[in-house]
Amino acid sequence: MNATTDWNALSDEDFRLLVRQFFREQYPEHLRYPKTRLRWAQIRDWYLMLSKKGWLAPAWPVEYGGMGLSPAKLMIFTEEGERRGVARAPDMGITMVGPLLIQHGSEAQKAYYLPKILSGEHIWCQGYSEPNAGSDLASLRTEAVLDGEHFVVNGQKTWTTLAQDATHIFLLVRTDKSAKKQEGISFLLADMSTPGIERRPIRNLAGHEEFCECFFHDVRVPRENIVGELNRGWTIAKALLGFERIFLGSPKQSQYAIARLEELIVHRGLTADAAFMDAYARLKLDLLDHMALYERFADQVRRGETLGPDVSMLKIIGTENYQRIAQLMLEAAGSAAGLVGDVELDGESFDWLTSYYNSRPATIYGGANEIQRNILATQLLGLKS
Amino acid sequence: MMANVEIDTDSDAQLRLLADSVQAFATKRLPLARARRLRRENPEFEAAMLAEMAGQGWTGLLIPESMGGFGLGFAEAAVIVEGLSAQLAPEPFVPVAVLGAGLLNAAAPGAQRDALLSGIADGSVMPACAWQDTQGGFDPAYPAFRARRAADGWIVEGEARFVRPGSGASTWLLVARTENGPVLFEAPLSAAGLDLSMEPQADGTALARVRAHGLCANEAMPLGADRLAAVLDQTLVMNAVELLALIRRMRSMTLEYLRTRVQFGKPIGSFQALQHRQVDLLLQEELTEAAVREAVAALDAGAPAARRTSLASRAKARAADAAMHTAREAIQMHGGIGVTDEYDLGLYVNRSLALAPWLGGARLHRQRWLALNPLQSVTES
Repeated sequence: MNATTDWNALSDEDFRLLVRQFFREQYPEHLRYPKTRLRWAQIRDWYLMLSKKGWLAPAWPVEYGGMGLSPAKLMIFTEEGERRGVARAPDMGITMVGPLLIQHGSEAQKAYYLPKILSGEHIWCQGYSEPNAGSDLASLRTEAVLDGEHFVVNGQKTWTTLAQDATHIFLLVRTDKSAKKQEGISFLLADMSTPGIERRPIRNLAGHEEFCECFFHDVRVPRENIVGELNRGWTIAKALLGFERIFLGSPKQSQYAIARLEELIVHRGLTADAAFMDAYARLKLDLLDHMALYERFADQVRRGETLGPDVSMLKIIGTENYQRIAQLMLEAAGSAAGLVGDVELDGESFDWLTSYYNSRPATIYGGANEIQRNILATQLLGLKS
Repeated sequence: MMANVEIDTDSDAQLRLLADSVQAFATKRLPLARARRLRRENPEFEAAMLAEMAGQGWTGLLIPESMGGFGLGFAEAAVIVEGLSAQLAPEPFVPVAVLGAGLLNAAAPGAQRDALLSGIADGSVMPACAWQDTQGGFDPAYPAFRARRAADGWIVEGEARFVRPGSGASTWLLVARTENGPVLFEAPLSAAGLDLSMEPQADGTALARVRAHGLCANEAMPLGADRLAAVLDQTLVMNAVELLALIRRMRSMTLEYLRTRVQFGKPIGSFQALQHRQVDLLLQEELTEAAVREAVAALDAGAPAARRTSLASRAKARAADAAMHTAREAIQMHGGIGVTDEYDLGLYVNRSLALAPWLGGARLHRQRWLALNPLQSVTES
């Protein structure tokens, strides 16, 4: 069980049991199924433990310190983590920057950055979204102008998840304003401590500060921090969206939410309410059918096939089911529905608003569901816009 | 592990071959004009065509080889059902080759039973099976008829409704409960003590309503209660497959229409409002396929009764809702032509109206599913 173990040589069942046991026994109990994204201070010990075990970067090749898991094994790893309520560590370095550098980075970039991601010395955040761009990511305006050995960056990023805790940010920046929208974009790595970077948390409806705005004012980034070729960043960024897209359409959020709904229904005696139970049964069957459809795509991943644009279906179905479940939970809560946090109801405590709030952005991020519908209409059904 | 993969691949290839031959047959022999011509006829299908399907081996698909059939599974049956339903073939394939053959398969062996099964396989027998009560419930424990012993046989009483086919069958099969569990009776079409009436459906086919009052029967074919329940679930799943085929056709017709119909100087399929509605139909189609596929696999794997019934009701609930939703949306996206009788979409809409409620609609099957998966227990898995 050292770093050179070939996990893919294990049978799926053996691997699953191994992972399950590890998550069950080693993950801190008080951090299971967290209601919001955990901050670095809360999750740091777990991150370092994964690092020490060599399990921090399941998808990276072994030669770079990863587990080198096949897509099929990676599915199992992710499923078991979700099943056990294991929180996402700050994983932008692991899921985005690492694979990016391994594919497109220079030798110097790989040698410098990859070990520091694994050691927890560098925590990355993602500088893609911009104000007024939304799902039209390519309309980004933050620009980087070459000045000698530096790019000078000016502009603003937003929805930067947990930028408060990050030491580094990876940016899509405009490096050629005369080119077409998707061209003239480059991929740039920046140290958050560089003068001219300011971050400001955004408080959401639930009162949490999960996202930040990041401002760039004459920020000087060394020229060697560009990844890949100048003005070719968009292609690289798109190529990063691999089979992980399936996880945007995972039924896990809905499964967890409906389990909470079921507890609430039983506790409130709503099982005798035929109309309510029909509404519940609809959602439960929606979930089971979603799970059956998810399996079709999961099989594709397990066979090592590339996912097509049709995977967008899962995201739409999953996130909209999740929202309907959260909505029914409010109906089940009755007069207490507007109470926030752990609410006492006839001797037990429930929290319904967290699902409500968490389910809202699910149909917005990762490409709004309207964009997913556009993708399906044009790329799958062949309708022209 | 490898062996399994190879077997799966083999059966996938076989299924594709079967699908190709069904497709070839349907294209040549089952044009939509035929379905249009036959509706509202009495009977609304052609016995000769069903015999031809028997000649292809299809009616005997689920019948053991010892009785002239092929002893194949529901994955194969689904391929045929889907192909026929897509072309709106009015021949009662599911009622005869799935329900009829299934009931007889489930009955205790005997000369009468074996002869009927061989007859279905070779196309000479086409039973109409009456079991569902007049309320339209779906409870295998309470078939529509009751039977009691008489001096030289049995007396059968009761009333069944929603029998498919309504006319054109060669014989009756009645499911009755007795003190010793459910049994199956065969009765000739002209049997004394049997009253019939026809109830026309939206698609121009008819369902029969069958009343038995003092019907005398000589021989009862005992049915295991569990086996009866299994056959009804199997029929339900194949009914969901019929609906899936309708969903696919209505959606693809609508997509084609969106591509070609021009308004405001552009194909209407370029309008985002319609694109998104079309995508929502795609989502329903995919969810239906996923649910149906899982149910079919469970039938072939011989899943335990509770799981089998859960999956059958789930598939039917999804298919019925999705078919009705697709029908409504398809009409809207077609505009006025969608509500005319001369346009083929209407044939599919009307068939959906007939098949979605058969054996119970979405609401009934959600309730049935819920009864099997109450909240306190571990849910279906």
